[in-house]
Amino acid sequence: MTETTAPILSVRNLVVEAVNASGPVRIVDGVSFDVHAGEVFGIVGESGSGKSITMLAVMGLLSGRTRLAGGEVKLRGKSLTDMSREELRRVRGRNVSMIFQDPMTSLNPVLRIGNQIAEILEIHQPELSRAAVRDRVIELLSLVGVPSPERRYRQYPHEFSGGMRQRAMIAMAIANNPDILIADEPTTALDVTIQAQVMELLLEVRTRNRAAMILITHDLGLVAETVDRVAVMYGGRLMEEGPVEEIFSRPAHPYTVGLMASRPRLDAAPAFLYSIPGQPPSLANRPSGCVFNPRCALQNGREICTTKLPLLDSVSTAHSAACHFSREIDGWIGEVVTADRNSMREAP
Amino acid sequence: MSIATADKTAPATHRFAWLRSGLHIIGQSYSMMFAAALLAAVLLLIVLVPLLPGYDPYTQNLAVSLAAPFENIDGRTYILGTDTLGRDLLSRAALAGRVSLLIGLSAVIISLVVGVFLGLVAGFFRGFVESVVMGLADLQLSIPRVLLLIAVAAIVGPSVVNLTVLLGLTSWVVYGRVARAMALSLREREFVLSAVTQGASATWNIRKHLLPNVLPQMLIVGSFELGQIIVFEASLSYLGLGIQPPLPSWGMMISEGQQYLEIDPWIALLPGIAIFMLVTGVQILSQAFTSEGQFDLASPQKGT
Repeated sequence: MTETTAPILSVRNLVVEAVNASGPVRIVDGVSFDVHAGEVFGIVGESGSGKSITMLAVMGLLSGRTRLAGGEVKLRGKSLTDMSREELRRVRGRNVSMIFQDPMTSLNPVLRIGNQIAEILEIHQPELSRAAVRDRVIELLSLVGVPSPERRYRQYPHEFSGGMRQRAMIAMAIANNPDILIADEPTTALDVTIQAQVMELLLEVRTRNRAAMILITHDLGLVAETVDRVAVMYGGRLMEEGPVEEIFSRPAHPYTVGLMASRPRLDAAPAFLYSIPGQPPSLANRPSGCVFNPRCALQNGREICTTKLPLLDSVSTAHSAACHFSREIDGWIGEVVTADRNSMREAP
Repeated sequence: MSIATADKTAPATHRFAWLRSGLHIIGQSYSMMFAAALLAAVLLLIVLVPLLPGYDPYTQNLAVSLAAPFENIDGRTYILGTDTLGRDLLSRAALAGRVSLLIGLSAVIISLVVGVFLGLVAGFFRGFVESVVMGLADLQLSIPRVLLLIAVAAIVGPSVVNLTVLLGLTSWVVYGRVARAMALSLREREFVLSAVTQGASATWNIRKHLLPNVLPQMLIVGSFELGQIIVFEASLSYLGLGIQPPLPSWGMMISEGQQYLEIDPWIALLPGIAIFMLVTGVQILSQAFTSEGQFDLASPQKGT
């Protein structure tokens, strides 16, 4: 296991606040995780759970109405949160780089693809000659599987298909051999047929560059296939974290259980699709105690859930969950899901 | 992989493709053809006449003063006639055109550079910088431009360079406002965020990502402004605060000619017609560059 080595990226008690008219709202609350060398770390959670904002905070890109209110981010032992703007700017794109969800909007429409990829080299390696930059860009383009890279170099984004654009974005992200790639739903905006190709490419270049990767997604299938360790986020907090096999086979948090149960299954008709009752909490008036308690079926009216905030607590060596009753989960899972299916069956 | 490689036709790579497509668009509408003809006539006048021998704009000959157009005196035909001092109006109008166009283009470039710079900086950084820049713009807009020009020209004294710089510095507001408005929306675009995550600094983003996006629009604004500036220059010269004799200018020629309107109206009319032709030509043709004109500079596949 990778546990013995020091983590490349270490996030401790990250707190992000959004300031609105009625005062600051915690949108990320006490998030901690480690990413080790060569590992693919997944962050899953529904929209608004704070996945993307956590990553922006890691890169020091909070701006406007969001601000870092606490916590520390360390990259290879160096604190990113203490760095000056200029130091941080040098880290971005060289040590950490990011791939965004929508390649249609993350490329500048009036610049040629080649020049856009060249940018990241020009920023971080200004000593490179024009010819060297050009050669490297063409090499990168062919590396990410863009055919006839010399010709493609001179084309504009509108002449690229969605998949090709995301390949160009990947080329950009790996241009400086970063330690960590952050991929924020890299395949969400693509056709299903292209998704698999792009994901495969992403994993391939990652392995080649020996970079760690953080994959932000809400696609549980993707997580199961590609990720080593996974963290589940809900309402700005980490609910559960552990090796992917364990999370999928033995989830220790009722929210994770709900997520797993709400996937469509091959062995059941879609009519039996489980859904977690209720809605995600408004972060402005967060429920007291556990954030998940108003929707939690395991709670059963127990008082501790509404009074005491559960902290991440280890369930097994590498697996931890933030639930007061994670020990009870095993007996409970089957019960809930079956009950739900039965109720569905009775409905007309 | 093969799915995504479907090749779209590459844009015409011929070096003069832009010229051909430009001519094509002009050929599609009568107003464009009219404008192009006007502009071509003025440009021919400006470029060719000073090259002809015997057409010196400064030679005075009182014997032939106030000749009418096409009047033949002593075996020489004065195509556009002469002024009170007997100077050939054709060559004077041509030289004046060169001066006007030079001043107009330089002033447009100055104001474009200043305006785009201030606008982008204001729109990208927002906050205090934005308040200062936009305050400055409002301040300038609150003073009538001609009045401002007259006042400043009277203080710094008239010269070609002063006039150009003055016209340039008083016209930046249009560019500044448009550039700022565009920067406000561009800075929120994902490609800017993406560049920031790659380590791009603010200056880098403004230069590499905002500038190329606003430049086509700025050139369109500039082509509209050119006509305006030429008229402003003519007005200032007419008032005696612009070009100084003996250098001719269309505005000055009109002011010289107005005293003789009853005897020889051509002296004032000809430079007026020249201004009209140049400005109308530029204004109508500049519409070809807007999206309605189909020669859309703002979209790369057509513009480059």
